[in-house]
Amino acid sequence: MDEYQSGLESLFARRLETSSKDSGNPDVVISEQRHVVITQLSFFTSETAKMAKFLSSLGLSALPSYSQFKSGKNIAVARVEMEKIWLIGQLPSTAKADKFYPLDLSSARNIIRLSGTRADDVMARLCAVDFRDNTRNFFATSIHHVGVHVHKQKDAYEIYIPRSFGESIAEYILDISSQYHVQMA
Amino acid sequence: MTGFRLPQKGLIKHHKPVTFTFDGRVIQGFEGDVATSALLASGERIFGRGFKYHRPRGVMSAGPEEGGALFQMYEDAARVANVKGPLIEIHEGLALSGQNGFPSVRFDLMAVNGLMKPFLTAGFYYKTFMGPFSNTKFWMFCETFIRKAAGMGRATTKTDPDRYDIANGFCDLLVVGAGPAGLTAAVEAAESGKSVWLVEQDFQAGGWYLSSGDEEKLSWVQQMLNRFLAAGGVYKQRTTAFGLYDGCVAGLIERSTDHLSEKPKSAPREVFHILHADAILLATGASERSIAFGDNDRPGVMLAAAVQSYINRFGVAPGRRIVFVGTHDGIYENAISAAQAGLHVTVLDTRHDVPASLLASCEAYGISHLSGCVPVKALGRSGVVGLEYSEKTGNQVSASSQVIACDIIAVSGGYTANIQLISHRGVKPYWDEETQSFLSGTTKEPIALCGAADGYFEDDNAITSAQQAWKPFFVKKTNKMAPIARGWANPCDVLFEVQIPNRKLKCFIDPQHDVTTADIRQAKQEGFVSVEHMKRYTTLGMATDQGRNGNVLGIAAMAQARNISVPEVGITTFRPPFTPVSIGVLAGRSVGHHWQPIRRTAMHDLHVAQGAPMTDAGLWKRAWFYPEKGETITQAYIREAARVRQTVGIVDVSTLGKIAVQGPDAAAFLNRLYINGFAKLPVGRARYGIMLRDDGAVLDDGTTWRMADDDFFMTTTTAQAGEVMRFMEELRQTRWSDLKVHITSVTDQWGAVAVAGPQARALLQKALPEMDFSNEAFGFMDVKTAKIEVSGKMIDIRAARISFSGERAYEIYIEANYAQYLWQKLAALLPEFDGVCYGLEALGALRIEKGHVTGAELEGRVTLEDAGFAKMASSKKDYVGDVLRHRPYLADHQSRQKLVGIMPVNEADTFNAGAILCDCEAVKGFGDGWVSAVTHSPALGHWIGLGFAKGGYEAWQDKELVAADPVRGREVRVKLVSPHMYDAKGDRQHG
Repeated sequence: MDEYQSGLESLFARRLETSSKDSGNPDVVISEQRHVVITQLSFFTSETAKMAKFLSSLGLSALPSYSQFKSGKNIAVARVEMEKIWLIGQLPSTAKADKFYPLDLSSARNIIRLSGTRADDVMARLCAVDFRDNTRNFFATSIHHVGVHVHKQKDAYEIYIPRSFGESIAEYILDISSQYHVQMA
Repeated sequence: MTGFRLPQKGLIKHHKPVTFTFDGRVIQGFEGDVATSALLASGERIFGRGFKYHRPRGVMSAGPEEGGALFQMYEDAARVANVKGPLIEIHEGLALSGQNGFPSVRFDLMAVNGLMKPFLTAGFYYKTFMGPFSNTKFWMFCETFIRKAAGMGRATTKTDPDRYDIANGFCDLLVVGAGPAGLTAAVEAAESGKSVWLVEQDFQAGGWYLSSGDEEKLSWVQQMLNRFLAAGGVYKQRTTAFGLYDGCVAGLIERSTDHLSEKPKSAPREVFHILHADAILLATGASERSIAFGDNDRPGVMLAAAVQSYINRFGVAPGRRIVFVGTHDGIYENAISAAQAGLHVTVLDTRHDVPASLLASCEAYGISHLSGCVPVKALGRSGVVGLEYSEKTGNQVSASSQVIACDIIAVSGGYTANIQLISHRGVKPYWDEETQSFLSGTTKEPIALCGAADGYFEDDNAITSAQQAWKPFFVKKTNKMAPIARGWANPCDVLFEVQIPNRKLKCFIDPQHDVTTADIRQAKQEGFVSVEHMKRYTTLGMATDQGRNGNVLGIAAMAQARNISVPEVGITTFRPPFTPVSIGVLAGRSVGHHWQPIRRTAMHDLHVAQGAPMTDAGLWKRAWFYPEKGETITQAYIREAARVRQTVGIVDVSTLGKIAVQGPDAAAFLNRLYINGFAKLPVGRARYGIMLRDDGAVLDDGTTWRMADDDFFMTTTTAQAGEVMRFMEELRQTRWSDLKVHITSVTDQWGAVAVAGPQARALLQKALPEMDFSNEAFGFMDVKTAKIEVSGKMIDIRAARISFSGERAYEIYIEANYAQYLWQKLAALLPEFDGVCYGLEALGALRIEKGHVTGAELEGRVTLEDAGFAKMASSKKDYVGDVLRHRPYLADHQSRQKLVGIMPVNEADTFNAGAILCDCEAVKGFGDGWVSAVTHSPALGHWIGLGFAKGGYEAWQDKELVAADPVRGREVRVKLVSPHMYDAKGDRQHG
């Protein structure tokens, strides 16, 4: 038995059980990204080159600018603060991350993935971010007063929510999405 | 013509009938009708009642400036008051009722108020409030009746059943108003590649063109709209821009479902769009204004352009015989529309010199014409039956008059540009003599006006102004623009009020608030001459139309009374909202269950499954107690706390704030923050610390663990976690930027369980054999880490031997995604040790027995000395708050209230938190202290409390006090003791 319990476990179980089984193309698809490993690394401005070199050793081309998310082959990186990055994905055992004060935040965030033709409309109702801005794709913002990060992808949004608020914010998102044809996956 | 409906006329769908109710009566209209058009078509004339005098009111306009036809829409909990009839799209199921009439607006007994008119003039409320009866029971008695007698619609007191949304939007250009000017600018900007939002408060684009009756113009509107949408523009109909704010942010309200018969269950009734635009173009048009003449509020007195709208747009004849009264060219188009519809039409132009082309038009359409005449009085009571008019020579109106029989008087005293939105940005309006309107000045912000909103009343000029207005926002160099003429082709007359010497006329200027020109003159007489004072004294412009009907007329009346010009009087400040906004839409989805976000611990579901009621701790939900077999809360928490003292208990403490402090200067940072030393805390040890605010008051307490030389794990109280994190970031980023420190909240990463009681060690050793919990290996304030295998994965845990309960206790932290596993594992072993799960209430009982403080005690005013922590403060280092804690105000320790334990003199007595501690001889005032927390102590067998008393418990030895609770009417004799009421030496936690 897998003892892993994300903060959205029971909500998704409840909603999936009661959600309508109607067919047709949903306007909004909501799903949870589970078992995602998030490792925060911190550095000081004077160590920027060192951090870039470390990322290069992971196959990541460069240290992204603030509010940017870059994907590598097996791991992705997001610049969450000027002096902090999140590595998303399992760090290779050979990675020498200790000098960057690694913090495991895998349990600290729930990740909701929002896609579908009306995902933009749902996001507009969640946070005050101009997602048309192509120079950024990882935004620190807030949903219903809770600080979150949003990764804007080509056809979806991934919302990183502090775990303790996860169920509450997920319910809020579902409430807003309910005006559309929503499907939980 | 059938009734008042004009067959084949208008934009309504004559083949799609729609029924709705008005005051319970079934009314039929057609798709495309608004409430007032359908009611006019069915022969209704009285739609409402005046605010004070309850005079009958009909429809006056065809837009949001409506002052007479206000309705209550829907019933019961969904009821909405003061909805303007011209804005209500009829649909099946719509239920309207008149307002401010008893028993109905058609027959209103409250019309007797009209007899009281001499007493109900301007300033009635002010004078009444200041009168001899103010603040008396008699006044309160009368107030009920005054409120019932005067007013508008009644809001429901029930919970709003509708849903509302708040949405954010972003664009390059926002164009407000989809009339000819707005459409022109929006299409051009969108086709040039800009992202453009076009918002229109109506349900159709076109603005005045909708009322033109001109197929070419209507076709142009549709083509322009199609081009706009093809260019990727966002068009929002039924959407009102109600305010402009800093940073080019516009507040928009989109009415999504009011027009629908079948309202989608989950769809919001309204959406509040917070639109962030790079530039804003206001094509908001102009509002027609009336002329103040006698009884000009009677049903049948309408604005001239509104008459044309009802005829050409809605296919309704407002009456059979219409007199158009006006001061400018515009009324001729209105009159011709009526004549074309087969109505009997007379034009009464106040100008003496009327262009020959206009006179020729009248002749061609069979319109009777009078020039140089002014309206004197509307005749009729429940509806107009005629117009009394006089000739005018210069500014003098002849005392002799004639009468024209008519059932509609269509008036136009000119147009007032709708400049409210730009005024929200603090742009001062100026009076323009040419257009006889206040126009807006310019602003450095990227906001501009065009079309009639900027005084361009002729169609071609309005469109040209729009073409010129939007480009400077985006094009650095634009060609020099040709000047455009404002106003009408021919000069308009200046007429605000008709006055005849020695004759009193009731000339209304604000039909919603029953304000007359006499009220304005009275305000002047009584010294309220400033335009802002005049507004508040007379309530002119303070109703839902926000002065669109009467502001200019009122200002002109004041100018005349003071013998100064209109611009010298000035205009009142426009503030948002432009039109009324539902309170519900401002709240959006933050209502009911979503009033505020909820925080749940990782073990939340397990607590609920165990039957624990959850209680609020800030945003957190915490298990309150775990009742067994119908226990009350008191029975449950006493049992739980007693069992912790006897055997072992586990409690979810995940809500504690957790902050990672990392970096080479982490120790130095903490050493400056806490009052006690942290620089030399060894790795693998925890220390209790206290931090102060800058002003020397205690900010928070908690333990901080040293995980490595440059890595600390701080815990804070649940209540202050956010504030501590904010304060630390402020210190790091502003004052101590020289320190190399990283601060990260890890509250959500860790689930935490406190295991407390004599059997805690044994239970933990069995549950987590990976760690050595022996006293030798795991001493008090020691910290340990380990990895445990769960589901084939190695999961981090960290533990510290610290005690909030005063028992031998450990706090175990585990990755939150596996916290349920830990809780279940510990809970499964409880029966073996006769242990319990305990909740927040038992936790409180245990800590009160020990005299441990929480947010109830550290409430922002408490100093180290007050709380008994002064000895912890280092004298060898600086720390936050060190300087100001020594200021004289805080130094008088004897007079300050200090932490004390409280026990009842009679052990059977109970007392309450919040009670005031008073000397037995002086149970009054603020007393000498207060009770912060109480509990039944299982260890001591009676009620105890914590609190603060002047001078501390030592000052009250051998003296009794009274715990006075005036709210509950209780007084209990108590004695003060040391706050450490149980195991003061700490033997149990060190054992």
